[in-house]
Amino acid sequence: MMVVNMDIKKGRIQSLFQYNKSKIAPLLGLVLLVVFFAITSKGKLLEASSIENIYNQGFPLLITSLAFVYVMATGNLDFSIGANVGFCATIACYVAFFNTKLAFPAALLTGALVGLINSLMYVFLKIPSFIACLCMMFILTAANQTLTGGGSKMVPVELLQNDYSIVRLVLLLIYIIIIVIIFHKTKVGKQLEALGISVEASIQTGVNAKLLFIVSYVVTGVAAGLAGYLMLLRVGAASPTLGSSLTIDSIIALVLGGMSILGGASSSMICAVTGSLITTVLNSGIVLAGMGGDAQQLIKGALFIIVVSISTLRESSSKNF
Amino acid sequence: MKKLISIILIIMMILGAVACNSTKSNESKEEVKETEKKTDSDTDGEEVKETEKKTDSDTDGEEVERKPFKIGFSVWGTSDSHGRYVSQAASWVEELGGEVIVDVAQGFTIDAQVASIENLIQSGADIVSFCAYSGEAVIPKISELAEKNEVYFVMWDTTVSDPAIQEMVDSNPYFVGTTNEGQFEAGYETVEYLAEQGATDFVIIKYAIGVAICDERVDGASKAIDDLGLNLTYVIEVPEDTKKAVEDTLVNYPEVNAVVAVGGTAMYVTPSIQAIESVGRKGEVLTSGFDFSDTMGAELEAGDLSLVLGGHVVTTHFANLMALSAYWGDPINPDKEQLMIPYLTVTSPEDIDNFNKYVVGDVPPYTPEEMLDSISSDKTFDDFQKIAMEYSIEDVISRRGE
Repeated sequence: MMVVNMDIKKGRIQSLFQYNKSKIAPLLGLVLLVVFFAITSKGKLLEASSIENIYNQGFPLLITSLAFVYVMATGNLDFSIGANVGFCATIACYVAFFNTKLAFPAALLTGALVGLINSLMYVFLKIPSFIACLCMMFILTAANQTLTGGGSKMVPVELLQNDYSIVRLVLLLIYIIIIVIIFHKTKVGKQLEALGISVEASIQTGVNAKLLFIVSYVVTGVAAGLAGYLMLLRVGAASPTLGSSLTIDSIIALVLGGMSILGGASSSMICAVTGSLITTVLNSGIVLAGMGGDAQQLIKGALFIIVVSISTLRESSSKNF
Repeated sequence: MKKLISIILIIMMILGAVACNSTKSNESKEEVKETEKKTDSDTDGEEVKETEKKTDSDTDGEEVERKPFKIGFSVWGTSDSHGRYVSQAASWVEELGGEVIVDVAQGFTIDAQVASIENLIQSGADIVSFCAYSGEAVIPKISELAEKNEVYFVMWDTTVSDPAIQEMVDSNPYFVGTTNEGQFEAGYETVEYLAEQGATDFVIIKYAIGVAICDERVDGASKAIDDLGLNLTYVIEVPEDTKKAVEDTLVNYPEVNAVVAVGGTAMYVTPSIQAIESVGRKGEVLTSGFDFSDTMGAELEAGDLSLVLGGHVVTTHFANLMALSAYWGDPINPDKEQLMIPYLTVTSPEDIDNFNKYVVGDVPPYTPEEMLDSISSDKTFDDFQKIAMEYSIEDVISRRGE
């Protein structure tokens, strides 16, 4: 009888581990990365100022990748998010010259509007989502280029002189709480995941697919607006290239964090957090450890492979090739 | 098992790369000692201290403490030859008893460059040295970071065209100055040279992002075209596919017989040469570029490329020297003026061989004594400017006594 109980317990632990493997493995990769850089930087990585640095550099990626979970869960991608960040920053910059208080809502509204247009093109015009988003990316890049005159536009001096770190932290926390609760504690998250598994089956079970696709793109749009506004405060200028790398970085962060690019049941907010941290710690740690110059890219690439290898250990049992 | 082996191999590769880095820095430190020992005997008993804290007596008898330093150097990349050369030149000052950390920023964006500077400051840099390649709007933020962290900053290959930004950096006690080349004149001379070779109808390829130095080159080239009564047929802005853009232009404007790229020889001139060939106009359309590339020797030899202005690698070297003098408390450029650096004009493969041998070869073109002498207390900014403007391959050869 006792042996049977032990077997059951063992089985439960195994299945729990199996279930969380996709989330635990990337966390393990992150921990190893932190330990590696803590040693090679002689402890600098763990200093308060370094942690603040990582936070300052990592928050735009965290914002966009958290929102990206909504779109990627459905099996879609938003290729316009990076361009949208830059565009929202430019709009906020222009509005700030009239009224600094209106800059933030302007950025959010602009981002949401772009997200809405993306979703409408996909849902009603039946344009494949990646084509619609790619086209939007080109449009936003061109618009941004025109608005900034091809160069860059400084924010009003009063925005540059004030320290917005508390405002940023508060906004970020509110954003994280809302986005996580909606995804994990309401039926929205489950329905988005269901769409990623099978759109037809989800519709059969009564899921309003059109509405959910619209919601997912509007969420990424709002996130782009938030990231754009906060990045504007951080760098003090709008430019055509601001935030442009965030599209690819968000996808990489999610994949590194253990989420499948096809969406579905592997979608989780923890993937965005882990992936964003891995990317930011890697970029920052490599300099703190003094690994500059020609070796930098080599080391970065190699470390990425290690982290991905650890993160994908979960798949080894199912893929025997 | 395979995965495990691959991870172990990668870890070994990383450790190897890290070890190479530290070996290199150890080697360079040993070289410094060697050089200093040499200097001891060369200067007929004049003492150059081997300790880390060196001093230099100025004309008033005050001592300048040459404390050890760490320079954080931010660059867009080291895979292109200009990025590689300026990074190499930036490290020449290591021979003066310090360290230069090169950080390759992740992309040409403002946010990437700000992050790069933050990381360098965080790594303990006393000085940050950068080019505002993501646009001059990045400068106020970096200025703020430098002041907040009490770190000196110097800009190379950079012109500040916005008076508000200039005022902002001038009021920063940690701002050292800028180095730059005569961009307008360079643009002008390029067109003059091509006109002498028979060019009449020009296409200019320019950056679209607000990089002031490129705008100045375009202004110079445009002025020369006006002055010489030539035609500026078309301006291409940051083509994603340069080859296609030039092909289209040549097909639509068959009268074009010169393509001037005001930046990135490798990025813009090489694809332009391919485009000229693909539309069957090889030998009819002249090309020129800025910044040296790895392929320019072969292109010059084949007659596909007429001239390149570049080799201004010392721009980072003189910027670092300027910053070091400020860090050591005896600034060579107290008024934060712009230091002008000459371009090298390359029109033949022999010029490139000499450049590779004497400027970016194994031995830096300036000895530690020459470096220290150029910023010594008895030198003025004008003297320093004169030394910088004397930079040429011939100058290096003559100083080496060859």
